[in-house]
Amino acid sequence: MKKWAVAIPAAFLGYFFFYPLVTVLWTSLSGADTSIGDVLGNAGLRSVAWFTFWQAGLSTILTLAAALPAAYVVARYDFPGRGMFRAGVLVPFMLPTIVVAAAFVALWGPGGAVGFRIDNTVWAILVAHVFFNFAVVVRTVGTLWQHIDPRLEEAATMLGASRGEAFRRVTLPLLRPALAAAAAIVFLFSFTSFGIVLVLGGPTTATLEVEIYRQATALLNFEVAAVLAIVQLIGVVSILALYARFQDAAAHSLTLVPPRKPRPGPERRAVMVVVSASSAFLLAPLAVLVARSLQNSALGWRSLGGSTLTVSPISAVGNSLRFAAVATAIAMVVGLAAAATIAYRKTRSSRWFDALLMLPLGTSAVTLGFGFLVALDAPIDLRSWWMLVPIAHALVAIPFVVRLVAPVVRSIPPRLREAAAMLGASPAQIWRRVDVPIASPAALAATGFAFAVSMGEFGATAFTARPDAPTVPVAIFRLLARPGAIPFGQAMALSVMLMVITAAIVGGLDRARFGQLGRF
Amino acid sequence: MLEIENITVTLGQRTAVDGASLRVEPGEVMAVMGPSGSGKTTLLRTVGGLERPDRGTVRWAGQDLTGVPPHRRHFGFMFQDLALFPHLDVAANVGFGVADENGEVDQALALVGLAGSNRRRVQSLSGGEQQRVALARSLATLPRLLMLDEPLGSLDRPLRDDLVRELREIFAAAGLPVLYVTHDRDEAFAIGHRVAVMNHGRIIQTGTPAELWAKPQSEFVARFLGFNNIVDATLDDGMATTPWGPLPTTAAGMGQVRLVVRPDAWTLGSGGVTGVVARVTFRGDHLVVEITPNAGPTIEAWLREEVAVGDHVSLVADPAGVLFLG
Repeated sequence: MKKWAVAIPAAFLGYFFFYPLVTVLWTSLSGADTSIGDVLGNAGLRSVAWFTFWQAGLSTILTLAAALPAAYVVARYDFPGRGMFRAGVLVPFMLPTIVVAAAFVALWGPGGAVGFRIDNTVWAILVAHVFFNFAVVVRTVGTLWQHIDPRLEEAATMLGASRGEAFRRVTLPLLRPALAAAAAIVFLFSFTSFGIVLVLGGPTTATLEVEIYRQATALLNFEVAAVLAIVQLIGVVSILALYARFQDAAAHSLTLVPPRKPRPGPERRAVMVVVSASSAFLLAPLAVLVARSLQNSALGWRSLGGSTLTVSPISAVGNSLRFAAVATAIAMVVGLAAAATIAYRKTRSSRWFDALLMLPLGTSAVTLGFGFLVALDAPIDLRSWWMLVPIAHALVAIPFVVRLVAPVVRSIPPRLREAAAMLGASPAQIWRRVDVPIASPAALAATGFAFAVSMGEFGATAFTARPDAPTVPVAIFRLLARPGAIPFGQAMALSVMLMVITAAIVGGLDRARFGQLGRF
Repeated sequence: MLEIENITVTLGQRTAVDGASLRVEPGEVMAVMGPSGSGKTTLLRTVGGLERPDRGTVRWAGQDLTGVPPHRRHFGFMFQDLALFPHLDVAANVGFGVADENGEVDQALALVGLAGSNRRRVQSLSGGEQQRVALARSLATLPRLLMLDEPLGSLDRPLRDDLVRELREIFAAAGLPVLYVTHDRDEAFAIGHRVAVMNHGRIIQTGTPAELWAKPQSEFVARFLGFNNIVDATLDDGMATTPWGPLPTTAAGMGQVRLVVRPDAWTLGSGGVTGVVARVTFRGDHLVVEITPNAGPTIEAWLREEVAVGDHVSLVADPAGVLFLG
């Protein structure tokens, strides 16, 4: 099985990922009307690139500032509801970005719950990015922090360092790999943010991602979009390269220090303040979302069957579930074959294959969708094929499947297989009785993950979904763009529905203790 | 029964086993001992079929096992890191290699003193219990040879001593030949009917514990046994001329020799090797005493008499404890 396993992912990614990507590159280079120089020289587009960069940087700094106290508290202290808090911070991160955007529209958009409006400003984008990426910092930094023995700081103070000095000279250097990795991830997500910027930024704010979408779909400026996609890809690959370096550096082997109860008094009060402030920040937008879906006697819910769009909003749920089922199936077949290839072959070429598989993770979804648009018209025109939606979703999900499953298979000690052989198991039996059962929890987690990714995918779907078969995120986006209480209520109701579905999947996975498997 | 003949195994650039030969008879417990990196584990893995020898053969009852895959050899193997299956409970681990139609699992668990632990998770067991599960698992298949790679490696001393005693009884009850790898001299002597000493991929001496103790054939074996009083000497009709002075021996003959005085051969007595006590370590029934003699290298003596650092002493050697190498 190992010989041909590589063919499936190679063929699938070759045709649906690399071929479109190369076509985008070709379009950007061979533009008849627009040269690269024209695009890069355009002041408006240059300011889009600059804005993309600085808002990502600022989002990263703000996220670190907001989430580090929570990371510290979760790592060091045992407080009532710690497990729930740890799992709860993951919810915003797992939510589809379109739901996050809808929640912030509900909070401070037209008729919002707070008395003022900051939608259509950069602040709305920044706060939403902090909300979305909070978990990245808490989980990445908190996990490492948990493994730094507080006795090291005590040892430093015994050697004459003040507490501040001890933190700066002992804890901070040990924490730096996680801080850098978390910062790189938050920067990457903010850099490629699409749904949040599109909905909250208003008509005049654009990141590269949003501009690619507008140039390609509204202005039909494929060549400009292609150049921007390449600029964006270069940025993303640079960030990922940095991230990979931090990942290597993070391979400290430290022992887990169990959290302790905070001492009564200021310490306990500080822990409570951090936990309640973080919880309020993460819960408020979601609570408002639910509340506003129930406004006007739940008008949004009651009217879901109406024909506000060309089709009824409720039909989008059926579409999404169908697409998610197909996308999950594709992602699992391709992802498991790829994981097997990576895990069982330790050659140099398999490491290259590993790196290639991660590329779709870095490539923005908008670029994927755009690639379909420019590449898949020949030899057969696939551009309006319904399967393109689940295929795009699968492309987004495959790196996650590989990341979840391959490390588990790879980490099976060779000794276990040898022990099985010594007990009389043939190679085929070893695979069936050792490898498969050990990897299956990860594969199950990957299945849930792929399903959730597909349910929430927006960037690529915006290009590939047919108008008469919108997915839930596409329907939410289109409803938010319409004036009136009914479309708004419907958008809220669909967002709540998507939130519940996603939270159910994530909660199920976390309950089954798959939360600690792999990283993002 | 088991015949290892002139085996050479190369791992990457390194020759891990270099022309090793060994026989294990029916019902015999053979302990293979040597320092880490001496090739003991590789030798064991080769017998199990997990490594392929470059040269030499492994035979069982006359049958050449080259080309027989591990799962067809019917050998039991207990790994140093135990390699318990984390996704299976105790009974499923023990029963991995058997159909369990005749209660082999319960029998094996009873044999190692874990009866009734069938449904426990292996992660919930203590280190010693995990060791027992691993042993029960390799016994449950009723193998024709049992191999153990440092089975007590990670346990602390008192628990080890208990388990060594138990293992001996289990091996006797099972009545099968055993190949037992350890770096620990005491463990090897306690377990093995015979002991093979390995160094640099070669088996340099094989014998019963008493034979090894009485007649180490090389300086390496002598030092591994803890005999560090080794010097060049001239032998002349029952007397050896050493850097420490003349020592009586039981050997006749003449010539240049490499001579060992076992540390337990020394006692205090007049007219012997004189020196000053440099270091004393209390060991319960005896003291390990390092003496700086007036001439010659430092002497290690296991004394029952009371001495203190700085004492001037005179040592005499029991001729039966004066040995010759090579």
